Formats: sequence, C-alpha cells, structure tokens
Amino acid sequence: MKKSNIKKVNKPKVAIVGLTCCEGCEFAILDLGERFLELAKRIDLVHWRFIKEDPKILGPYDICFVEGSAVTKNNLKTLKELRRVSKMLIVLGNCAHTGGIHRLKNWVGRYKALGEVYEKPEALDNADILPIKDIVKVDFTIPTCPINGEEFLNVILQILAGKKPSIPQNPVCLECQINGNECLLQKGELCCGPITLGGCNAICCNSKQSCWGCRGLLEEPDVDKFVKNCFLTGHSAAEVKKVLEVFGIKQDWLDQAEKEWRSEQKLKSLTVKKKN
Amino acid sequence: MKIVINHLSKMEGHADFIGDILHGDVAQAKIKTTEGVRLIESILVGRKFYDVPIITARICGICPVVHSLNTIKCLENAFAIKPSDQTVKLRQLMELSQLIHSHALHLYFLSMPDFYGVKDDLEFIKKNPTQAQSAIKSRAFALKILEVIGGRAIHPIACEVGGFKVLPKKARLEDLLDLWEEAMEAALDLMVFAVGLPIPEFFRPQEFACLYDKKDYAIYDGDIKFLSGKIFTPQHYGKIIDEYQLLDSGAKRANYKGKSFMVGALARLNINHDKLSPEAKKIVKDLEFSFPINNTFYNVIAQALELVHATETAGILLKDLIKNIKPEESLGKRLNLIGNANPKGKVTSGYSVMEAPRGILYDMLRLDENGIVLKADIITPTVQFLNNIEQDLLVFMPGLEKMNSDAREQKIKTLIRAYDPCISCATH
Repeated sequence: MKKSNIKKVNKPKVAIVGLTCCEGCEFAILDLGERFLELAKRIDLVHWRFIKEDPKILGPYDICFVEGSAVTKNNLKTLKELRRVSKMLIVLGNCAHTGGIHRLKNWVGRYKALGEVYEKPEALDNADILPIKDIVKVDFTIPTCPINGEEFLNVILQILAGKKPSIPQNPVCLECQINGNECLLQKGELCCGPITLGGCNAICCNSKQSCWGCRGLLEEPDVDKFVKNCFLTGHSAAEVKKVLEVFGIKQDWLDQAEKEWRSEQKLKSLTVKKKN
Repeated sequence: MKIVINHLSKMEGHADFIGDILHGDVAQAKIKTTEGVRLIESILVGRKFYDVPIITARICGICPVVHSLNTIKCLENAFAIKPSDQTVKLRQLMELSQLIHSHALHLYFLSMPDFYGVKDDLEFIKKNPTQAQSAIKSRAFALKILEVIGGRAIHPIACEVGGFKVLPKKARLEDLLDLWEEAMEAALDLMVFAVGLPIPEFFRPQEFACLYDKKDYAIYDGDIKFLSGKIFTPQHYGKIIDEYQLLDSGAKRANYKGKSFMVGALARLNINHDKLSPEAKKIVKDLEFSFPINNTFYNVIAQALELVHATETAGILLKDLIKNIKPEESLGKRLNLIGNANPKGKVTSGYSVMEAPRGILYDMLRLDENGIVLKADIITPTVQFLNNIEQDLLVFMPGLEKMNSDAREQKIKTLIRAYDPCISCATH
C-alpha cells in the first residue's frame, strides 16, 4: 500500500460495492448491528445500495470496499470505474481476494460449466474468474469467506486512526492450538491450517471442520511440507487439489510449489556446477 | 411512457426494471437481472458429496443456512439415512433463526422505508429509532442462535450429513434463552409497526405455493401445496415446475401450469395460517383477515407475522433442547460416511424442499456409487416468483400513469421489494 493513501481524513467518504457474489460479506457488516450504526456516525457512507437509493458510481471516495468477482462486462466496467474514483480500494472477502468459489468454474472449464446449467449458454455474458488484484491495483485485502465483521471494524478503525492496517503472518494453526482444538491433520484429515493465513480464530476447526484456506496462503507457506504431510496421511494429489480449488487458492499453491521446485532444481544445478 | 430503473437498490443482487405504459395499458413490465452467473450446479459435478453443503451455502449471504441444510437433507434422502430427532430439532431452530434474521432485515432496512418514501435507511433510523432497535435485537437473537448451533451465522460450519460435527453446549443454549424475551418484544414491536404501514390498494387473484404439513407450519420439511388444491412430493415438484431460461438474463424463470405463482411469506400465510404459533394466531384473529390475501404488498405483513411465529416457536424449541440435549455422535460419523462412498453402493438421487425466507427452495442431487455428484439441480424461490412480480406490475402500473416520475418509480420499487427478491439466489 502506498503511504500517500493513508493520510488521516476526518470523515472519509466510504463506498461499499458488491460485484457478482453472495453478498455475505456485506451482511457481515450489517450484522455488526449497533456497532455498525456507531461506525456509520464516524464515516460518510456515501454509497451502499443496501441502505441507500443511490445506485450510480460517482465518487470520489476515500475508501472503497469491493466484494465479489467481475463475472460480467458490467462488473468489469464498475470495478475499473471504482478504482478510478477511489483513493483506497479494499477488497472484501474470499471471492474478491482469490476468486473464491466462483473460480471453481475455471477449473471445470467455462463452456462446459455453462452448458451444464443453461440450454443456450451462448446467450450469457460470463468471463473467467480472476482475483480482483489481477484486474486493478488493490490497496488492502480483508480475507475470509465470509469476512469477519470484527476484522472489518478493526481495519476501518485503524485507517480512521491514520494507521496502516495489517494482518500478522501467522498460520491458522496458531489460533487453533491456542483454542485447544484437537489437531485435524494429526487425525488424518486434509487441513490447510499450516499454509493458511490466520486471524479467523480458527473458526472452522473450532467446529471440527478442517481448514480449506479461505483466508488465502501465507506469504511464505511451506508447501512442500504440507504436501508431504497430506501424502503421509493417505491423501492423493488429486484430493489435495480438489480441496485447494474450493476457496480459490489452487493457483497460488501451484505457483508456490513450482517456485519451490524450481529453486530446488536450481540449487541442484548450482551444486553440480561447483563439482565440475 | 417508458419507465427505466437501472440498478434496483436495497435488494440482494443486481437487476434493472424496464416498463412501458401506453394509454392506460401496460405494454411492458420486465425485471432484467444483471447479476453474473456463478454456475453453482456445474461446479458441484465431480465433487464429493461432503463439499456440496459447503459450496451451496455460498449461493446466498442472507439465507446460507437454508441452502446448506437443504442440500444436507437432500443428500440424506439420496443415501436413505434418517438423522436423530435431536439433529432435526437443532436444524429446525437454525431454520427459524434464518427466517427471523432475514425477515427483520428485509422488513426494517429494505422494505418498510419504501412505504413512507424514505430513500436512506440512516434517515429512517433517525425517524423510527425504537423500531430500529427492535430489528437489531431481533436479528441479534437469531444470529446468536446460528453462531451457537452452526458455528457461524453466515455460512454455518457445524452441520454435516447425518448430524452435527460438534453439538452446542447446554450453557450456551441457556444464554440464548436470556435473549429470547427481548426478541419476542422486538418481534411484536415490528408487527405493530408493520400493521401501521400505508399499504397500497391492490388486488390480483393469483396462485400461491408453499411447504405443507398436516400438523406444523412447515418450513423444514413437508410436501408442496398449491392454494388451488394440488399437493406434490418434493421429488415431483422439480418436474411439475416449468423452469426455463430467458435470453437476456442469467436468472431463470418458472411457471406452474403455464402461469406465474407466488412463493414466500404471503404464500405460507395464505396456505398455513391455521398452524401459526399462538401469539401469531391471536394477531391474525385481531386483524380480521379474510384468506387468501391477494394483495402482494401484504407480503410485508406476512413476514412480520412470521417473525412473531418464528420467535415464539424458537423459544419453545430452545427450552426443549436445554432440557433434553444429550451428547450424541453424528450419524455421518457413526456410518463413517465422511470420506467414504455412497452407502447405497449404487447411483442414487435425492430430493429435498425447504422454506427459505423468500419461499420454496428445491434441491436435487444425483450421486454415483462413490458419493460423487453426477448432476445437481437447484430451484430458488426468486426464480419461482419473478414472473409473478411482473404479472402484478402489469395490473398495478396503469394506476400510476398520472403520478410524477419519482413517485411512480417509488411505487414500482415498493412492490418489487415487498417480494424480498434475491437476485444472487436467482442467478446462482
């Protein structure tokens, strides 16, 4: 994030916009109830179609929160327009962050997926799914499917206080262990906790649901160790990939794996050269 | 006279309205959905059954509970397994909570301001602060229930095929009961507020459909009953409903016997009003309704009545569960289902219907012997009533011709939003 984007503004003009999605992240904000109303007094919420009749994107906005994916040409146009009129663009939730559930379609194949649901698939405006950061510049990401209202509140309060928001680079396992949960990995379940960015209070593992990585990968995940662990507990590569697809982290994981593999190759070639 | 409303606000998902009035006749009334298609049914194909409820929850951020639970019930139907009574009670409590928080949100924040022509909720809150508090309290009660039982309010975690991954602690259920009285007061407050709404005069005889059970105000399970008389099993519902694609919208449409029909709170009230909770029944009696109500604006009143019904019923269920909840392993675990194959050992299909806040949700799943999805079909409530909104508008709009354009648009939006449409669901 550029420093110039985070000067302290008194009552920042804020917009919240959903592209194609379930809008769960926007409801997570509304679900803050009383605390949302308190927040609404400290900001100038100029655009949010859930509470206001102002459907046009006009700007300028100090902070713009974007949820969902650019599926249609209109979504894409809106997103680019939002970037143009916003000082700071923050993506909300897993779909905007990694492509999320929507990105599963890319792995199925767009035309095959369309044909499965529609008799006349050619009539539909439907692009492959990309993370928002691959389309426009993103200043900050609030991850998770759906976002945690508390984290949203923290981020916006940090910005209001003139601070740069951040999320510590800890794996989900840290909070999971603090909560005293039984380790699902050790039980043989396929759990992405070790490679996934924490901060969710291990909410799924608390309910004995293994982590599928909806907060995205850590900056430097130990992919190699993770995969070996999965294989050791009897999971196939295909199974691992299927799980990583659900919340849109398969591509990042493949990229990371390739990087690790390449550096290993590189190291090997260097060693060989030395011997020569 | 062309009437175009781009980007309808204050409803889930994205849609435009295009209308045309010609010499007192409505030449056109069309809701054009602009939401991108997410192809949820196609991404389920080829995946293991236990991925299904996790993915289908994400169809909608306001009613994930019903999407998730209905696919779980559908899978149980396909596998021919029957979860414990305790599991069913916990799920019913989740369903009631789903109804409560969705209705309270729609009533106060999305629809009621319309009837007074208020365009900004923050203004509406300033004018009606006590009702805002009621809506928030009502929602807080329901969201807390979902958190305690489901692990999270939006996209619940703890439910699985056969039961629950973890059960709520008794002490936490007791805490919920502390919130109940306040929630009941809040529901009654919103009910009074709803009755005071200036509801437009409107009448159009139409077909209604909802879940039906001989004893209960069915929302979790049942057959489907049409007001005109026919009753269908969940399995047949997908066949008698004619679902089709429009070329300019992602959301499909549906008809029954070639005609539009209404699902949702008003349909449930019209068909099942004699099975409401005692408090809600009393209100129905006081209001001296004659059924069926053929003014779809009354969907808002029906939602308020259901808020009272669901809150009261949730209290009864909570008390029952506090008294009787016992540790039990989920049937899914006992059958060692998770990670395993289809217990029937062959290709099977499952069917399930549930009442989402907006009406009947239908799911069909076909699975192979390994428990891998071969085919999925999901028919959401909004798909079922989109045609009906348009039919209503054809009758309602001629009376608006003499109004100024702002007032006319406001009336049109009021009717559309009274249905509580969810374009995210419709376009899944």
